[in-house]
Parts: sequence; structure tokens; C-alpha cells
Amino acid sequence: MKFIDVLRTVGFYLFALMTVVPAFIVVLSRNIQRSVFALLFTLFGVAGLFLFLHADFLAATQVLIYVGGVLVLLLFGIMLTQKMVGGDLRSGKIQFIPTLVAMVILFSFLLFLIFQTPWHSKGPADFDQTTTAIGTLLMTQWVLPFEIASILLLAALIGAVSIARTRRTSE
Amino acid sequence: MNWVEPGLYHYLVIAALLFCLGLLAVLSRRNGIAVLMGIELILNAANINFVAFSYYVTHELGGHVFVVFVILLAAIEAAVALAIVFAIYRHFHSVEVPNVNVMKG
Amino acid sequence: MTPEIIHQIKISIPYFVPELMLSATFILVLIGEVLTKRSTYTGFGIITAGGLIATLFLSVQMYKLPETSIFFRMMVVDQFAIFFKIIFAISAVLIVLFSMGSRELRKYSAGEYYCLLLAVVLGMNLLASSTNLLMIWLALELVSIPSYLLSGFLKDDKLSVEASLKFVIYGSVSTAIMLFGLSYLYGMTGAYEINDLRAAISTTHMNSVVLLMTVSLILVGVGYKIAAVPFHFWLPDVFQGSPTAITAFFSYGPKAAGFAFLIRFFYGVFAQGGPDYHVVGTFHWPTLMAMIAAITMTVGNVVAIWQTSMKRMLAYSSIAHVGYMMMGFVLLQQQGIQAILFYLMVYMVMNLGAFLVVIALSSHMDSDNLSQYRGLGSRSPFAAAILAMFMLSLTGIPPFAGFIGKFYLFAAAIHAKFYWLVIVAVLNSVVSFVYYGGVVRRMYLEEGSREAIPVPVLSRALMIVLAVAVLVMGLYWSPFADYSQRSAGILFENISLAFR
Repeated sequence: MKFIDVLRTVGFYLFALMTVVPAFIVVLSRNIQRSVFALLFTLFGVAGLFLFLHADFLAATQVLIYVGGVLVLLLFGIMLTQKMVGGDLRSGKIQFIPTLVAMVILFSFLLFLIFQTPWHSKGPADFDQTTTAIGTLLMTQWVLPFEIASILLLAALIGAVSIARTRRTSE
Repeated sequence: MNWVEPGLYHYLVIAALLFCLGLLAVLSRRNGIAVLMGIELILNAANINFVAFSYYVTHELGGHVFVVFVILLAAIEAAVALAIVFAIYRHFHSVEVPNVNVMKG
Repeated sequence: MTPEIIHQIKISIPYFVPELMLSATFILVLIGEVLTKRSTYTGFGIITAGGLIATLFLSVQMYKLPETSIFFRMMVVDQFAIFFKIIFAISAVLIVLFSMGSRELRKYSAGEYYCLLLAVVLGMNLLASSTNLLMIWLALELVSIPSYLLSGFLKDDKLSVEASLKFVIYGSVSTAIMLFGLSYLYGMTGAYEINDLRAAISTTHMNSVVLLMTVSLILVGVGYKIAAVPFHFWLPDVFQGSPTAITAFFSYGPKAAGFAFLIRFFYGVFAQGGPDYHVVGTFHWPTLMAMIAAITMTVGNVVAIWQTSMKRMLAYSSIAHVGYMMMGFVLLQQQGIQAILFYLMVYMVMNLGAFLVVIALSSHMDSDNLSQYRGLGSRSPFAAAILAMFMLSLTGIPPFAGFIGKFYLFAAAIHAKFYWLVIVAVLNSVVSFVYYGGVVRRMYLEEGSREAIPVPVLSRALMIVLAVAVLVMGLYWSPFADYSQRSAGILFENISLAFR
């Protein structure tokens, strides 16, 4: 194998680990701040995986919106609702073990599915930079979802502000 | 096939793992914000699936477009969920779901 | 932007006018909210209702156009879709009228309320029309997200806020799970449009286990939306906590939209080679559907008996009715779908009618408790009589519309040879008489406080309209039955055409 291939493989596994290991922390940690920071790493890891899949636009979007938006939002949420000292899982623990077992079973089932299905893989694709192509698609074939999404954004914005703000004095 | 070099299966396994972890978080965590993080894990798992399929199976960008909208919606849902969490916190001073349980039955 | 693309967009627009009208009303209300200093539920309500009636009118105009799929096959405007557009518009107008008379909403901003409501109606319309996986998922989110906010709209009320927290958490989880299923569907077939999916599934050698898993994941999402067991847990709390007008809305609109999607998706993708879904593997789907129907209706009816809150009782009642409707879904046959569509019409009138009475009376009641309904027969004879009628119709007693609705569903199940299911449904209807009849009993046979409850004239008029509708549909149902048959039939013509 050429050196570049070795590099690529190692890089992939690094990003894969960066995605998966913090995910365990997100789920299992008792400290909610630690969970959020672990989520940060997972989201970056996913962005890295996108890069390996030639999804340059998506990788950038992931970092900008998921990390830069959602994560920051979660951090604000945690900071402003400070009473959380990461609840002890005491009463939760009774339900935890069966759920864990169920998830392990589910995961095995998914693995079975993944390896059993004939996925018709045609091998790696040959994408150029995807940004232009995605932009064109959003304006042509996928224009309707694009426009509907804007209405959804507006409605969600209106409603979220309405619920979250402290009530102004009524007229 | 060479299992060391990354291929479709690697991505699908990672996605399946994230999905199960996310579901575990949703089902077992008491903190509302932790459940939200579990949902984000599930959505990311779906995203990885879409992009991997786009790259290996369909060779077109429909999957990418899907992901654009999923990321958008994840942000929207997070914002809405947090708005509601703030409203909850004002009343109950806690966001642990078992504590927020006036209604029963 | 090539000429073909511009052309495609241009010819799609005439088919999209109902949705455009909804969006325009949305923006109008929003601008009005920003510009005016005093926002009243009546004022904005009239604007919203006006927009909805215009939408209704435009939807009916859609019948004149030849049916086609628009916007690059994102959605299709056929008779099935138009049927839903019409009932969504009518039910939304009713909800707007309910909201105008609702006391608990007064403190909160009207413009934002109606904006959110319009957004949900837009989403419902799209869900009934969409044929593209992304569009379907997006429409589902458009229905869900403003709903989360509407349910928590009474932000000073603990119950309302708690309801919306539970709603948003369970709702987001289910749409995320559904998305995961959609991703596998995309990977297996490379397609995201219903016709393409059908073609891919029939021609390619498809591992049936994966298809089973994928469909199950998708069913999780939809099952949550229509509140079928075991995904119904969110419903009673959300119903109890939300503003009552919104509870009425949730009891009907999103469920109907969920059914529209379910029918279109399953029939569109899987109806081939026979009405028993056999293409989705050797798993016996009809039996699964029948079991879900049976369990759902039984859970709904049995738990309703124990309820002491009217809204919670109606919540479980709506779960039960979803169970009845799922009987029509057991086999992929036209008769079943027609029964569901007919029942949706009937259910709208009787269920929303019941809610109307509850809302009209709630301003004079201290709480939502069923004990508040004692002696209503003498306190407010008109309202009590109307409510009694709706209760009896919901039970399924002739000569009211509920009886005919159930009759068609039973007939469809018998036609599908699921006799045990019909027996379960009949038993369930008998059981439901315990709690529906319980309300009637409290109203007429028990003593409550003495003061009379006045019912405003407009509410009375609306009650009469709905009551008449229930009677008409119960006595002279053929036009409605024919209408639902024509709406259902179009799905099957399409499928047979596709195979030619």
C-alpha cells in the first residue's frame, strides 16, 4: 500500500474513535458537563468522517451548525439550569441494566442486518467539490423542501421565543 | 475484501453503534438535556448512513441533501426543546424528567 | 437554471395554491402581530379563519385540474390528497373558532398562536400529498414542531409546560428513529420517491429481514404520531396539559395526517402482487396490523374508564378510535381505506363536537374533573343534550354517524376475514359505553350545583351545525360514503396503471 493509503486508513480510524468513544461518555457519564464536551468530540468526529466520504460541504455545515449552534445551545441550557449536578443514576440504575442489555441485542441485530444485506456497493464515488452541486440541487430538484424548511424555521423561531421569554406586561 | 481499509461496512457499523448509544441515552437518562443529546446521536447516526450510502451505493448527492435538512432540523429541534426546558425550569427548578411529573395515569 | 427546470416549477405552482394560501395567511398574521399593539384572539382568528376558508375553496378547485405529481415528484395532487386538504381546512376552521371562545388562551399572544396553528395545517397538507421521503419527513416535522410549542403555549401553567416537555422529547425521538429507518431504505433502494421505491423493491432481490427492520423503524415514527399502542404514552399527558382548543386539534388533525401518510406510503410502496404485503418478507403483516389495532382499541377503551379528567378521558377515547381505524388498514384493500376515510369524516364531526361543548362549558367550571359535569342536564340543558348526542355517537349507537362509521370498518375487517378482530371491536364498543355513558349519567341522573351555565349564541350555533352533521351522516350517509370511495379509489388506479 502506498503511504497515502496508510495515512488515509489511520486517519479514518482516528476519526472513528473520536466519534465512538466520546459517544460512550455522553451516554454513561454522570456529569452532564462532561457529557456535553464529549458530544463536542463526537460531532467533530462525524465531521471528519464526512470528509473521508468526500462530503466537504456537509463537513463544514456539521461543524458550523452542529458544533457551533446546537452544542453551544446545549451548553447554555446546562449553564442556565444549573441545578443539574448530573443526577445520580440510583433509581435509574434499576432500569439501566435491562435497557443496556436490550441495546446490546439491538446492536447485534443491526450488525447482522448490515452484513447480511446486499448493498449493491459500486465502490467509492468520484465527487468533486460538492458545494456547487448541492447548491444547484437545492434550487432545482429540491426546491420545495428548501422553501418549506424556511417556513418551519420561522414558525419554530416564533414559537420558541414566545415560550422561552419572560412575559412582557400584557396590553 | 480487505477489512482494514475503510469501506461501506465500517461506516454503517459506526452509525449503528451511535444509534444504539443514542437510544440507550434516551431510554435510561433522567436529565432532559441528556435525552436531547441522545437524540442528536441518533440523528448523526442517520446522517452517517446517508452520506456513506451516497458515497458507496448511489453515487449521487440526494443523500447529501437529506443530511443538509437533517442538520437543519436538528438545530431547530434543539432550539425548541431548550426553549421548553427553560419554561420548565422556571416552574419546577429541575429538568429531571421524573421530578416533572404532576400528571399521572 | 435550465428552461426545463423553470418550466417544471412554473407548472407546479397552480397545484400548490392551497399551500400558498396557507403560507400567505401565516405571513399576514405574523406581520399583523408585529404591527399591532393589541392582538385579540377574535381579530386574528377571523383573519386566520378567512385564510383557511380561502384555502378550502382553493383545495376544492384542485379537483378541476388533472392529477399529477409536481415539484419534481415531491408531491402529488390527487383526489386522495384533496380529500385530506378539505378535511384539514374544515377542522382547522373549527379549531380557530374554538380558540376564539377559549378563556385560558386570553393572556397569551394571539398572533403567534395562529401562526403556529397555520404552520401545522400546512405541514398536514404536505404530509397528505408528499411522495418523496425527505418531503414526508420534513412535513412530519412541520406538523410536530409547532405542535410542541402549541401544547406548551400556556407557559404560566405548570401542566401545559410539562405536557410540551414530554411531547417534544418523545416526538423528537420518534422522528429521529424514523429517519434512521429512512436512511436504510435509501441505502437499500437508492430511491427516495414512492414510485421508485416500489420499483426497486419489486425488481431487486431484497433481503426481507432488512426491509422488515426498516419498515419497523418507520412505523415507530408514524405509530407515535397517531398514538397507536405501544407508542401512545405521550398522549394523555399532552392532552391534559395543553390548552383545550389545542387538545381538540391534536385529537384529530395530526392523527388524520398520520393516517394519510401511512396509507399512501404502504399502498404506494408495498401494494403489489397481492393485498397482503407479502413483498415485505414472510412476516405476516396483516396479523401484526390487526393485533396493533386490537391492542390499541382495548387499551384506549379500558383505561378511559378509570379517568377522572374529561380531557384525559377524551385522550384515551381518541386512542381507542385510532385502534378502530387501524382495522381498515389490515389488508391493502380499497374497502378498508374507504372505511378509514369515511370514519375520518365522521370522527371529525363528533369528536370536535364533543370538545366544543367542553370548551364552551369550561369557562364556568372550576376544573376539568368529570364531577363538574354532574347535573348538567338542568344547569345547561341545551349543551347537555348536544354533548349526550356526541357521546352516544362516539360509542357507535344508531342513528348517529358513529354507528355508520364503525359499520364500514367492521365490514372491511369481515371482508378481510379477520372475524376475531370484529368481535374484539364490538366488545370494545360495548365497553366504551361505560365511560361515554358515564358522562351522560352524570349529566342527567346526578345532582350538581344549581347555577345555570350560559352558552354563548355563537357556540350554540356551531354546536347545532355539528350535531346536525352527526345526524345527517348517521341517517343519509351515501353521499359521504361515495365521496370517500372515490377518494380512496384513486390510489388503486394509480397502482394498476403503473403496472401496465
